[in-house]
Amino acid sequence: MSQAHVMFRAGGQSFAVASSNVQAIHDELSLQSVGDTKKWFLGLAVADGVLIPVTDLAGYLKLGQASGRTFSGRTLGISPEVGVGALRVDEVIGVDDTATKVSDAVLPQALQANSNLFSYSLEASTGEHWVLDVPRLLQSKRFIDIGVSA
Amino acid sequence: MNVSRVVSQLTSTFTTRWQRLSRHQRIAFAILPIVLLLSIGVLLKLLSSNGTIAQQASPTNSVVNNDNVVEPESVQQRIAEHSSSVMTLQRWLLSGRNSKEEAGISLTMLQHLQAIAVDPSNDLAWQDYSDELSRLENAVEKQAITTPEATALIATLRYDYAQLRGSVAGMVDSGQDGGVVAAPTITSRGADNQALAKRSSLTPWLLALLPLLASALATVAWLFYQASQQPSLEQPMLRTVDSRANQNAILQLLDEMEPLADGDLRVQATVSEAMTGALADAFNYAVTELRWLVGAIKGSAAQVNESVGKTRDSANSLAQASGVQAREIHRSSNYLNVMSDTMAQLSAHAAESSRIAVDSVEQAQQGTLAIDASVKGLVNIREQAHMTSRLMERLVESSDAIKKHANDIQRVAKNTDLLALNTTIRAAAATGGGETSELSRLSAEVTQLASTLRIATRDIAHLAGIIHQDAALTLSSVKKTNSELDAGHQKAILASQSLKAIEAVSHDLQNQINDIASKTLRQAGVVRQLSANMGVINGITRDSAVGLQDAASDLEDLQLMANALLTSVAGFSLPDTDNDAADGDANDSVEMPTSASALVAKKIKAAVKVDHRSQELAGFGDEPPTSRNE
Repeated sequence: MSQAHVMFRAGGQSFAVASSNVQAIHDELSLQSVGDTKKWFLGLAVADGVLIPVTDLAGYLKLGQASGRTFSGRTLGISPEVGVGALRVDEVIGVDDTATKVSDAVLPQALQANSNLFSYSLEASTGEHWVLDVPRLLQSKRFIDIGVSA
Repeated sequence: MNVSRVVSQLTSTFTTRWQRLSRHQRIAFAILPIVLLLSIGVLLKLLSSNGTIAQQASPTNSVVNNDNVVEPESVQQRIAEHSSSVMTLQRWLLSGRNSKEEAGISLTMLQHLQAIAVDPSNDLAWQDYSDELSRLENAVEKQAITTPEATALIATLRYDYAQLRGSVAGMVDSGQDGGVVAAPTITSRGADNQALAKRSSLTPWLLALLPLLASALATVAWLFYQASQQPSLEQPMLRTVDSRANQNAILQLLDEMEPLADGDLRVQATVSEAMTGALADAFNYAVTELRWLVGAIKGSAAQVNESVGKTRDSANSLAQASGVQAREIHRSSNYLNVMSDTMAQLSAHAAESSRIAVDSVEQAQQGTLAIDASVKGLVNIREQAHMTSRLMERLVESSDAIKKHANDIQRVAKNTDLLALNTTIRAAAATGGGETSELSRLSAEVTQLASTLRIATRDIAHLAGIIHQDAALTLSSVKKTNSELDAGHQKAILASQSLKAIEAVSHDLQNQINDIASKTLRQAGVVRQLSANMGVINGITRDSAVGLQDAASDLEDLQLMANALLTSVAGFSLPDTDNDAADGDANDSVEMPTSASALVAKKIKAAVKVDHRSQELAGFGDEPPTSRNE
């Protein structure tokens, strides 16, 4: 049996994260903007009684213009065991545990700048999904430094 | 034998007594009886002339006058000449560019003339010919015939027609069909009566002179007897102074009387104490009377000649004027006939217009009923449209509600989907090893169900939106239809009111047209009666023209007779007025003819006046007055 992954889309690209890295999927979170922060940092929100920062994944990956990013998508709540945070995506396709891992897939050009976050992809019925390394993302300096001056 | 013996004895006795006379006595007794017999002959001739005129002018005699007869051959010749004129007119009209129809009229006139030539008493042919001639006159009046020659010839034809018709009418009236035609009419009798009046005034004088001349002749016979009783003048023993004086007196008397044989009325016998004094006095008296008589005859004849000439000219002018008047009256009658026909047509058109007005009233009534029905239908349609509008509003509201509920369902489906995803994620986390449990499969089914529900609700919302849009459009359309129905309803009401107004107007129009039709019909009758009256007047005028022509002809005859009378007395020589100024009888001889001529002229005018009046009355069918022949 393969590992279950949450399949989603953001910035025109298909991604997947391990279901263990996701605590819950939120819909219509009430965001509170924070000044002097990067544009991809959407603000703070309360989910299940916990204050969490919400990041626009497509903006962070610099896919915003290509995907036509909006604020109407869903938010993937990161499991507390991995870190505190939430990723705003365009569409959550579902949970798939039947996708096949593809190791030698070529990373799309749009993702080349963040190639350290993607190591393999999954081939599912909905297409090719690049698996995002959530712990590395949360620990990266650029992701943590949300201030404008930085 | 006895007669021859008596004649022989008388001859012997006359010869014996004649031989007893002297030479002068023989001359006297040879001339005197001749002169007296000549005088008596002249008087008898004058009396005979008066008697002839009286016989001609007598109302009891026939109106036939051999000097004024119209021979049938003359009538036929005049008809032929008239036909020749019509043929000339036809050739002219045929040569014209716009007078072909008038040429046909002239051809018809020729046909009528042929019928007239066969039977001149055919009044219908005469009337038809006159009508065709009137058509040509109307063509001249309408400028259809413009050439002066044709116009003048048409006028001449009318004048000739009046004369020809009058001549033939006189022929028919005298009852001499195909025989000698008497031209004199009432007018000529009136003129003859005037001549009779003048000449009858001379008759008493002539009759008085006759006994005088007879007495003179008897005196001469007695003197001849006395002279023959005496011894012959050749017997010297019987010659005395007295007998010589008497002989001289007789010779002088004979010398003085001798010019009378040549018609010299200037003779004057010497009245003396001799035995011939009384005879000379009687002779002078007789010559004076004869002088007066001849002077009166000359003066009266001259006056009659002059008056008759003037009257004849006036009669000719009146005849021409009557002809023109008859033609104008006939033309006016034709116009009146045309007017009557036109008015009859107007009446018929008015009646047709009245019928159309009635139809218009009926159509307006039916239109009013139809529009009323349409108004009711529009009211029903408007009510149905209002109900449809309300239903559409409800449909829009219902579609809005459906859309709202669909959104709720879609939100539920979305939450369900989210719940299923989280459940799956929890289930995956619970297994730890990454294997899916029953919960995760249930979650997947719920997710699929939520997806199906989301799709269904999305389709429902889409359909609800379409329904809402269609209902909104339908509602707008229905509202627009309602407004148009309201406008149509108002227009239908206005149309109904207009039709009712049209109905009322058509009804009034019908009444007015009926009034016009009845009045036009009455006017047409009046015009017809007027045309008939004009026809009567035309007949009177034509008769007057013919009568005036006859009067002019008779006056010409009268003038000829006056000239003949002058000629008959031209042989008499009258003394000069200056020489006879001292003589009282000469003054009388000047005044008497003037008075007589004035009296004759006055009587002629009165007779012509009475004749006109009698003809006018005769045209209306009245009986002529009994004084007409007086």
